[in-house]
Amino acid sequence: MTVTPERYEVFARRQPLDPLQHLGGVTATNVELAYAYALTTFNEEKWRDVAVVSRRHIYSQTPIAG
Amino acid sequence: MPTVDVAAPPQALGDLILGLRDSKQVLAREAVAWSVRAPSLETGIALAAQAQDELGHAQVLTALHVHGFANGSSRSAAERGRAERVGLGDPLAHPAALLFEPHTQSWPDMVALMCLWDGAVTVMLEALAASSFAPLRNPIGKMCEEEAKHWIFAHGAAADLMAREGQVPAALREACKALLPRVRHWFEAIGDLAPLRREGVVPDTVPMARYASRLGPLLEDMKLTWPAPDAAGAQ
Repeated sequence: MTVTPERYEVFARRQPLDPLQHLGGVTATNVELAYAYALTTFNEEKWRDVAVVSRRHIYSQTPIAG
Repeated sequence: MPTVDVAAPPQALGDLILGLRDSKQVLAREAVAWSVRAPSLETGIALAAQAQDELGHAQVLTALHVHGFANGSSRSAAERGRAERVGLGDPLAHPAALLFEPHTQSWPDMVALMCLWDGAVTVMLEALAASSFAPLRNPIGKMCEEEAKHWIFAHGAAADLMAREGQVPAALREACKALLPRVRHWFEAIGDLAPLRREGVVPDTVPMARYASRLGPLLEDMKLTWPAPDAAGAQ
């Protein structure tokens, strides 16, 4: 099996009712690693919730570059 | 469970705290070493953060020991000698940690250490988080929260290696296979909570069995099993 790194988008919020805020992205070969990288890459603030989503699960009519 | 006298906690608890403290410090040392030669920059950042967590835990455990145990800073000559030999120096090493001196030559070695030994230390901390010794509960509860994140990282790193082609999955499997009896030996040296149960410090609990259960799915993926008692102590 070939392991292909993919891009994950990182979202977070400070308070339970805040909207999730896009922080940036990380590259990882699985979702657990992506989450671990997100926690340590974007730790300049204290987030209540952090979430990651693979870019391939984001629907768009146009390709998302970057 | 009776409440333990904060002014006179049992010495077995002090020894356990020191053993865990020094284990944390060794884990931090390995994480720092790998942070600058990790497979990716993001992995290096995660390792540096983990090292910082582990050192913070070591500091908290040191403070708990210093404030909780009157003779907390004393070390025997034998302990000092062992500490010097592994390069930790006095007064930072405790024999219980040095039973397990890791040598992570490869990234699979480090991932195995993160999964197996860090997980073992965490299980012991979880036992103490339920302690009747009040000064332990809050700081160790916070450590356990941070360790849950370390486990996600370790598990993700193991899954990454297991999914790769070539000899990488076998290298991880061999690293884990070599570590398992040593972790068991470490548990048996440091993890006997029977005296603390008798003193009412921790509720009835079997950390090693809990650890083996938690590790089960990962070991199953690698076609490994928790070693039998007669394999304990193998180097």
